[in-house]
Amino acid sequence: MMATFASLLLAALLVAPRPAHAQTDTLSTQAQSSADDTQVAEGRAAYARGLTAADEVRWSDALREFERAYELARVPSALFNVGTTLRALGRHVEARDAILRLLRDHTLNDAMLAEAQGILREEAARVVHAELAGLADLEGLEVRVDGRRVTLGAERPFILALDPGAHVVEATAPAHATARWEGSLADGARTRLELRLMPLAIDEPVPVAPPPASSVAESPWLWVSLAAALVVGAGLGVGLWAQDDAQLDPTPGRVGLRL
Amino acid sequence: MRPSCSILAALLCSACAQNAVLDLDVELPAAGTLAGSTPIEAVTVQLDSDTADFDSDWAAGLPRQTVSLDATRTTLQLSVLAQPDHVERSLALRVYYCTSLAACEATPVEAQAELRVVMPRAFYRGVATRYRLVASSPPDGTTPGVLEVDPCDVAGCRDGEMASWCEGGVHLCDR
Repeated sequence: MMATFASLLLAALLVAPRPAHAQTDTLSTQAQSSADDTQVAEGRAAYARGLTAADEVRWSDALREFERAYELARVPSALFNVGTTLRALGRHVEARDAILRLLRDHTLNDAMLAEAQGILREEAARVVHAELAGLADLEGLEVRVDGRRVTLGAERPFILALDPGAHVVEATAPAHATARWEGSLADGARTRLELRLMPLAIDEPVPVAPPPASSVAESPWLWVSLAAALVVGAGLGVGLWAQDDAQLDPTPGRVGLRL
Repeated sequence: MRPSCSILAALLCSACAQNAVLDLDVELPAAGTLAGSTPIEAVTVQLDSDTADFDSDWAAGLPRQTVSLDATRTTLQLSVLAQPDHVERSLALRVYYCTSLAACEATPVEAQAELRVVMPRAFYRGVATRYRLVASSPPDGTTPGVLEVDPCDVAGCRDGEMASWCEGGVHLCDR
């Protein structure tokens, strides 16, 4: 908690328009000189409200104000405080991403850089990585974590970055039974969640065949042809099944990657 | 007669796998190993088929695996499956060395250093081959070179250890 407040204090010093820091906070200066004055003033007011909320341990309010301050003024200290507030709220994935964005998008002075890198290391170490095992690329596949839909990237296997703690993960696809995992994940865990989508049996109406004309049904050629078709179909089916079965799979016990 | 031929063809084909596997061992450095003057904490291995374009970022959808490094050297054991139309193409690899797991998981990867590898021939239809890539020392050059793997160093189609997996310049899997 003390570290959080120290961070907030540091950030407050950086955002304040003090001549002593003007050279070290060049982005802040640039933002203030190029943005609309009213917008910057609103950003500064939001930032001050964020600091007050943080002092009073109203983290949700603080987060909203720091996000607003960053949206308006684009100063790195506001984004830094977004990250530390998310950390205080236990939202480690978002905290990691905010600090990563800070490092990516801003040139920081040495003190903030060192602190941001330290927070990034801590937060990255707390994020859980959960591989979703057993999910095929089904059309209409959706994955929800704690009721929220997550966007699945193109990479396989699917890997979710989650905050540690209790979660419910559900996968759904048309014509498949919902697969569900529920449990608690420890800090920094690397784990596999089994979510196997089983196809639902579909009750299709059984077509009623019209009664065959007695003259055709009695023909021996009809039955010979049907028998031949069955033999051919069965042979092809066995052949194709065996062909599929003969394809190589990644070696068990290794991480499988498909080209 | 025709149906009999179809059945026979299907049954004969059943014995021929058309894809291929490369079991790739990647020797990784210990956590804290320096890339230049920066300690490395994570590594991403990314693969592409039939390309040697290392000058741009590879598409995020290409297969890749990210790992946090341990206190001691470890080996990442991959099994790369090539679909039938990839078997005879070259395989390109990038090993990214990052300061954090997050940096290695970013798209594109935010790497401190990179090892670039091309395997002109890594796969042979219907068989599993093996190769051990030594990536335990991050390169420190600003413009990384490309390591080309001699196809005769790719093991397969015979048990045991051999100095070369070719005979008369022809790979054992091609004989």
